[in-house]
Amino acid sequence: MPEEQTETQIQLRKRREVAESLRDIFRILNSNRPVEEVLDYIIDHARKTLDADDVGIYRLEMIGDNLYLRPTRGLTATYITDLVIPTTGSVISATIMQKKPLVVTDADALIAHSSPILPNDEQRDLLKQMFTAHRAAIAIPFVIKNEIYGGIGFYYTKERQFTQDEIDLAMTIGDQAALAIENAQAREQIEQRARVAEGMRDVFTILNSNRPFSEALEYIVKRTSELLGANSVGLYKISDDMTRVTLDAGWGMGAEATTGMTIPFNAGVMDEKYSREPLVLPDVGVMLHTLKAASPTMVTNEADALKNVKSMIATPVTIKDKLYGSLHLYYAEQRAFSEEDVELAKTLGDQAALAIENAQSREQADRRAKVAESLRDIMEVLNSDMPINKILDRIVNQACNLLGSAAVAVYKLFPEEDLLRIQAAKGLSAEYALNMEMPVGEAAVGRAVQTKKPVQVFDIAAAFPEAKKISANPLSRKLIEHMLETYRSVLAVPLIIKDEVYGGITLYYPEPREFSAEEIDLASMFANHVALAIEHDRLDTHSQEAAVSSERNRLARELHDAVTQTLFSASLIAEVLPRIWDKDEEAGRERLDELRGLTRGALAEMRTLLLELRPTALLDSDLGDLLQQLADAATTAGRVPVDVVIKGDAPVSDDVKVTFYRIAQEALNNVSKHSNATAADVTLIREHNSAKLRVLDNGRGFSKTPNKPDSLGLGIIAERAVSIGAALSIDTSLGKGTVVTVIWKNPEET
Amino acid sequence: MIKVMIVDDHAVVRSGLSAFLLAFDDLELVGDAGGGLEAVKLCKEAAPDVVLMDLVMPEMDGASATEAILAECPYIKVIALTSFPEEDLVQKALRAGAISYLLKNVTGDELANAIRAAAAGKSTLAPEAAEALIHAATKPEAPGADLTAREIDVLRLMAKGKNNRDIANELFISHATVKFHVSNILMKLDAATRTKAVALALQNKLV
Repeated sequence: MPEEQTETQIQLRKRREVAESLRDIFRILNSNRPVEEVLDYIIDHARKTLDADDVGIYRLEMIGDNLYLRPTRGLTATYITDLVIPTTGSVISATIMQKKPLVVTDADALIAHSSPILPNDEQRDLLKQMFTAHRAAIAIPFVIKNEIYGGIGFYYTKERQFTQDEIDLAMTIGDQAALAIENAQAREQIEQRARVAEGMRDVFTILNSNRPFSEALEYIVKRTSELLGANSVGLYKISDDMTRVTLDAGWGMGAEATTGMTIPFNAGVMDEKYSREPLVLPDVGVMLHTLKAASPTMVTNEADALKNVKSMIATPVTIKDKLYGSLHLYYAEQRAFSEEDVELAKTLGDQAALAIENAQSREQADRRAKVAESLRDIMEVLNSDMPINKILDRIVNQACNLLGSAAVAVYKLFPEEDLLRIQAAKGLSAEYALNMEMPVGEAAVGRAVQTKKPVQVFDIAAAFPEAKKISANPLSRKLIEHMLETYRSVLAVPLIIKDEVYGGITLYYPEPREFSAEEIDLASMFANHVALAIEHDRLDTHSQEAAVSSERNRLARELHDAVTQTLFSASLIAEVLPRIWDKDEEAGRERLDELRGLTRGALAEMRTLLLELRPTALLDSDLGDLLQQLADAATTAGRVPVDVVIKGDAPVSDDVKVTFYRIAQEALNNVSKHSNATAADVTLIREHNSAKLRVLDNGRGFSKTPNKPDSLGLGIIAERAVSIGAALSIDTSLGKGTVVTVIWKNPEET
Repeated sequence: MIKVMIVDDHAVVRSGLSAFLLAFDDLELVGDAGGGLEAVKLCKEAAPDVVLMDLVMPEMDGASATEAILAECPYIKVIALTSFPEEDLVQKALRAGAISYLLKNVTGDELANAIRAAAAGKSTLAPEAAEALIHAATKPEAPGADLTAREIDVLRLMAKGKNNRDIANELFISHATVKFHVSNILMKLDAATRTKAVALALQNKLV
């Protein structure tokens, strides 16, 4: 039986080939080759051992709500990429789904059966094309851990029958392929886990380093994209009112998606449930389709944002039980996500949360340190004798720095007019700062003043569409419109001093933004500082007034003392004058003159004393007369003849009059008490828009660096001169007399 | 002839007094000074019998000048002549050695008589000054006058806010001794607490 023997020999050879082939497959299974290579190898061997003309491996995939079989390897490229077979209805898929082998001996019957349930003509054409070339086939399901992974198909160009041996062999090869896939999957999982562990380690390192917040987040999104193979990844922050999301960090998102980009947040896509569970969308199109049907307008923005995205995972980022935002992984292709993928995305979301929390607490600590520093600075400034406007400028600068605002303004309330005007500003145009008149109750600052509460505006133009109708004057309206071109959001806090609204502070930002509770607190703190500075200044003015009044009392006492001395002297002379006259008429006459001088001096001193006690009297008197009176008093008290020269009688302001009077008083006090001069003069020149006072003596003078700078009243003289912006010169040296000159010029004329 | 020196920082007063002296044949002006220091310097050279001394002056006040002048020339009689009748000024001037105390409301004749009396070693007191002295003499003793020197030491440290341990360390005495001193201080000052005692001490210038 040579034929039979031949048949047996063929069979034996075939078995040996199959055994060898299986051994090879086992060997390759135990190697660490990538799964694709293993599958290619299996396909190659299957083709040989089963004499198949073509072999294809299918994967079961979830697309939308339906399961599809998609050819992945072995078949001609067109089929691999394009053929999708639904799992329901089709004979091949139904068989595979039932985990049973399928044998096709008549292609026409299969096509007739399968065509109607294929999704479209294109798919039907592809199937037809395939079974025109292949008239017979065996299909074997891959079952991995009781789950269907897919299947393998053996195709033959000619119609044929299959022996049980061939079917068994096909099943063995199918099992091998399943094993290879399982093996590879396990290995891949291990590798993936190793990669994830490594990635996590990196992320942890970054988190524990002192890198800036933004860098840590960028690293996380980049790592997420690498670990989960996403085409792009975005980390979004959700606004407190859940209406907007802002991009914190993005990776591979394209040029238009810049950090800080804000898009509306559609509660429809990410609903209540989303704040706890990741959202997995293997087919974004299907989701969009559903959503469009539900709410046609709502989804437009979302659709725009997702136009190049086919599938995605979005996982919530939760910090201390509060939804911070979400981590989105975008894929350009439709794909299924394993539980592991979702878990990993969740873990990365948690890492992002940790990074943000870390950075937030670090930023908080940094900010607190900065706040403390700025407080110290402000305290220092408050305790210095800097003028109030300079102090406000300093505080305003600090507020800008710490609160990151582009501009800031301190508004003062004018209650009679119900208007707010700017007292100090930074970053606003001088025109705005000088002319802005904001009615109480309008715009952010007006509302803050009215309600005595902070007011924040995310987008001024949107929040105050009536901005152009604000009942301010036309110039202010124009200024507001102009301001709206530069600034988008503001934070306004009221300025309250001793329970009384003084005004408000507004911080301006060029971009629409939210304000955290901490920022609002910080702004309020600055308001408190401004309040403190203003209060301080008021007290200071009070204490200056108190100092002035105590100075006045001192002068009054001194003058009283002087009057006493003069009158004592005068009364002694008057008493003894007759006796002197009897003894020596000439001496008597001299003493009579002296008595007259003393009496006139006492009178001048009395008048000066009255002026101290009733300062308004000063304003009613002519400056020339006042200087004459001072000179008379000095002549008497100091026994120094003081001449007075008055030139011009142009009127001078009250400030100038009082200042010149006080300076002359101090200078003459020095002349009569300390100079030992034998002659002195006072010169006053009053011209249109300028005035000059000179007090000159021929006394002993003094060194320019006296031990006690204020002992000669020079401090008072200098302060007085500065207070009206007059130029002061004191020209003296030991033994050379003293000249004190004050020149005042009308600043409006120069 | 009584030689008189005038000490006053007010030129107008010096001038008035010199005119006044001119009118009396038995009084002769031998020098005038605008301040205490100048007076002390001038005194030996001018060798006055009587000095008319203003009290409140810059550079050296009248009481100190009186003390300095009397240390040099104990035979000189100093009459304090001032506008102020305050008790502490009167006491200070008299303690410094002034024989008389007159106010600048005195008449020429009164002043001339006071100078003559002083030259003869007799005191003249302005009524206001006498009143101040009587008031001081009849006033109850100030609190703390009976404190010992050690108790004052302890009180001084209490006023600096030190506790008993600090005081013990500083004075090299035991803690118990400090406590003993403190309780005596409280008793003598009739103070219920340390704070009260310190307040009283500061008020009465005990420390």
